[in-house]
Amino acid sequence: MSQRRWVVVGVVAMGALLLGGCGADTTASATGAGDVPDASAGAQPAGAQAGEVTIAAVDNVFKADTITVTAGAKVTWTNAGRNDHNIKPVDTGQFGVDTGSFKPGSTYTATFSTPGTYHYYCSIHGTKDRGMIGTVEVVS
Amino acid sequence: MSTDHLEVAQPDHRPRPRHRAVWVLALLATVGLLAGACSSGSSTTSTATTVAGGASGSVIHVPADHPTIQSAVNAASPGDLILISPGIYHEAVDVTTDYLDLRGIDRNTVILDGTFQFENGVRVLGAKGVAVENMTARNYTNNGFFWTGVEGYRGSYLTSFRTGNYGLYAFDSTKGQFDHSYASGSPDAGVYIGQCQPCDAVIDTVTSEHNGLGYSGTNSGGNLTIVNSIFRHNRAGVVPNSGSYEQCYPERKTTIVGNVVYDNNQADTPAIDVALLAMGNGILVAGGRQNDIERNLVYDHERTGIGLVPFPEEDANDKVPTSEQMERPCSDQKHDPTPDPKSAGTVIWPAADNQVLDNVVSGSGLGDLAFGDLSGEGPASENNCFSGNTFTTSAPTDIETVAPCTGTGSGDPKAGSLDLAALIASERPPAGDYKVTPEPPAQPNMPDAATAPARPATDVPMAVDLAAIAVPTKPTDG
Repeated sequence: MSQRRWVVVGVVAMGALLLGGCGADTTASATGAGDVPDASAGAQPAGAQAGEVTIAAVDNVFKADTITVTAGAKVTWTNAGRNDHNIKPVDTGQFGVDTGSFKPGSTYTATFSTPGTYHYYCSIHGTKDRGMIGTVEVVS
Repeated sequence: MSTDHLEVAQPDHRPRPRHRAVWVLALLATVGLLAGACSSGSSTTSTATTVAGGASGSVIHVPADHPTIQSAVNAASPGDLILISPGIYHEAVDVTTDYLDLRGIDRNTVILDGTFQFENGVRVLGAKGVAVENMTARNYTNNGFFWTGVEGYRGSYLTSFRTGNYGLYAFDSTKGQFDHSYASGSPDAGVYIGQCQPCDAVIDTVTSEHNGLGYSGTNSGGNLTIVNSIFRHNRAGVVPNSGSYEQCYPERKTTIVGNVVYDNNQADTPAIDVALLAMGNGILVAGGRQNDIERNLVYDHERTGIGLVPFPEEDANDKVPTSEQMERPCSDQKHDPTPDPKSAGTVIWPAADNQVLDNVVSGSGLGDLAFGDLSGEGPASENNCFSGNTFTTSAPTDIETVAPCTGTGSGDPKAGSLDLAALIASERPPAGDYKVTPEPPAQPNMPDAATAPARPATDVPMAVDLAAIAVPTKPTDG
């Protein structure tokens, strides 16, 4: 193997080393915000996403920070940052994941069945209305 | 004396004129305009920017007027000085009011203690011009002093130790300053400025030791100046870096001048993976661009004194932007469409367009000056340059001939080139526990802390005369 090849392998290995602690094994899964999707929801409203929707929790913002989904959508957050994050609902008890279950590389999924506006935040990097905050708007 | 972390609602009996906040804001705006009109230029590359004028609000004493710092903050109006008496305060203080000055009367005995239960000592969220001065934060699970999403910030005469992430931390914040401060015992970085472009910030007269990284700056730069500071006994010293795990990539345009960087091989510090990887390097530009590294004293590192290396990011969220894309300010880039998380595969952030000038570097295992790349074509291929440095070893061997900052290079860029595999492959001691970092010695106090008027962060960053900074001398204890 050439020196250059070794270097490439080494650098890729370095990347693996960097992210070795961030594997997907700790995937969290949860269902929140209501029950079975409303089958009578009808046509998807303009701008609303249906099915499975992803949000990246990078350091230190949710991206996209505001999404609109139809009732029944599964929203998956991925901790795509290097730091710890969590997801705390502004109104308690709806959905959310603690820091320990949402380490870098982890995902968390919640199903939103009931129309409404669901605000959330990362308590490490924000408060209920400042910093690392997000909103899931659920329409029927 | 110890205060409880629970907020206790206390009536404020101080006379407070109605609409005082409105008057103070009007004063701030007026003085701000005057100050802006009167700003004068000097021979600096770091320009002081007035966010708003000085302030002259009330003085709120803790615990005399309010039993906790948080309750005082909640009662404060823009321009107020919150003056904190010695004591151990078990609090996590959030600040959302503009132009406050939180000041300890004594840096070493005004102590915020998170007891490893609270996340941040003082956290400033979106509030402009907040200064925090002359106090200690210890034992927090995340950060000692943290500003996020602000315009105008200052941390002066602060001590932070035993924090689970960063000591002094400014994120997505501009027009700021850290000075006369100390940070130790953070697995990531003692001092961190991230995701800002241009940052318009200064780090001056700071000591950072026993951390994973002495300084880290991800995707930051643009009138960001690190001067007159000491980075020692960390895993790695000063590490500007790029990555798509934060916005506004890549890191670029940081100026690092007149610092003492030594013995960053410390095997017992707490450390995140990146810090383990970077161990044994003094100033390491990991995937950064257009940085100026001048007149630093760098010595005794197991790997490189000053190294420019690519940074590989596995499972990246996005690819390296084009030159045109990366010239946009952070305020524009933040509105870019959201890429799928971890969809870009392994992305290599090159170290490019950096210049290393007039440093004094010695005692490095793999090279006092070093450049590593994947192509093997040498530093000039990425427009990096090295000139005027005092050094003994380099990789490639004739680095200042191969890649000079003036004129055309010559020689073999592959001769004695940096062995990246060797740089990264060797064993590193495992991370230590941040919770057992030694308590630092008493640190110098802010002059006249008990009597000086409020000074919100309206005149930041301080002007720095870079041309006047010489290579520092070796410290007596170093």
